[in-house]
Amino acid sequence: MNWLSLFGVSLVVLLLFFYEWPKMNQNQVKEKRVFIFLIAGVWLVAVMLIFFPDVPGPIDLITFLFRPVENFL
Amino acid sequence: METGKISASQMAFMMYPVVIATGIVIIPSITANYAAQDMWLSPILASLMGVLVIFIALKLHQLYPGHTIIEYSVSIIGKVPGKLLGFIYLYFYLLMNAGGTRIYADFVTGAFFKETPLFVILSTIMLVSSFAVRGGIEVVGRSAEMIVPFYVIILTILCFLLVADLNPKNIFPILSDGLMPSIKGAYTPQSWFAEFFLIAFLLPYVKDIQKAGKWSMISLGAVLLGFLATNLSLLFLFGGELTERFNYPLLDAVRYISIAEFIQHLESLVMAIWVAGTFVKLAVVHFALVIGTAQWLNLSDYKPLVFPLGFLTVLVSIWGISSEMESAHYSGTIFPSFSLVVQTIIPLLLLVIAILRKKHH
Repeated sequence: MNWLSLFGVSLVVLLLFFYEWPKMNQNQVKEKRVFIFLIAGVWLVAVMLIFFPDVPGPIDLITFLFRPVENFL
Repeated sequence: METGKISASQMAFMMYPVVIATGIVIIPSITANYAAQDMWLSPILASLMGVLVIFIALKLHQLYPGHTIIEYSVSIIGKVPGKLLGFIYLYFYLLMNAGGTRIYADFVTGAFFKETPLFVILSTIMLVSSFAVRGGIEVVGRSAEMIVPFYVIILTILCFLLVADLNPKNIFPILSDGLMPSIKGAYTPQSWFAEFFLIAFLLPYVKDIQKAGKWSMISLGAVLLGFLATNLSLLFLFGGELTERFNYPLLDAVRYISIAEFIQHLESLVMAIWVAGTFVKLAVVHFALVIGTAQWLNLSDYKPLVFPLGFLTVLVSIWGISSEMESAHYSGTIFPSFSLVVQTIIPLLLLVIAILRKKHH
């Protein structure tokens, strides 16, 4: 199941790449870098979540920061 | 970067579902939990927050016309702190949209598609919204203009169909414990009203900017009416005590409708407007996130970012949130505090600093 999800996520990321890459201009170097960085990052996060679903995420950081306010209410 | 323009009325149509699409489904029970039979008062108090943030966003845009908050935060507090603040905004809108997607998916799987995996619901809605955003702000604006009138009409019809079963006596005793319960009940909805601050990302693309203030207030008024109508209907139907026990009281209320045993099972209508409204909401917030990210990185085009960031939004909405209960807890109590800081206090400080700086020069 995990390996199937990994395959699915990789497929989606590849599709995304082949959909978007030809649309960018030759001289949009910075855009291309950001795009590659983002989809690589997203792929890594997705793979991490497939194998370790309990890793604390961005929402946990906010929950940690604002919990004192909740207790105050 | 974005060459498209929207009209001030389109902006109003875009902002309506941003606030109401998720708000109307989960907020009544949270409000009822604190305010009980005074739950109708809470949206009125909370809407004052909406007035405040609209005022702040308009004033800031007046001082820096044609710029979004990501750009003028650099002009106001300098390069490094401004960029840092911009990052906080991007983080906030990423989490806000992830939260919205998650509320939508929890509702759809909880009430209708009990066997469907969560990620299917999450990714399909995000995919449609991303396509709208990729089409540009005009596409988002026109979809909103097309969908929102139906949304309002169906919501109104549903409230009217409930009239026969309503018991207005449920509203008494009014303010039996003073104002405090209603103020506590307003704490969650204030963060939804504060989402009107999103116009800080839309104002640079509004053609008839002098009408923006008027149309924002019309949108705010419509949202307030929507909240009032649902809260009052639920209060008159179930009473404050019972409303807090439902996860999605509006859905249960609509399931209750049965006229001559002929007009019933109208929850499919709730589902229909819910999907359409969420589509517009996610598209508008995603547009803000994507255009903000592109400006933050000084890119010349935002379109390549649309799908990767959409994917990231879906991931964040399941990242670290394992259950529906955890997600409801986050939206009901943690998000409002986060919103209060990012959407109200920081913009207010920015405005004060900006005015002081302009006076000195």
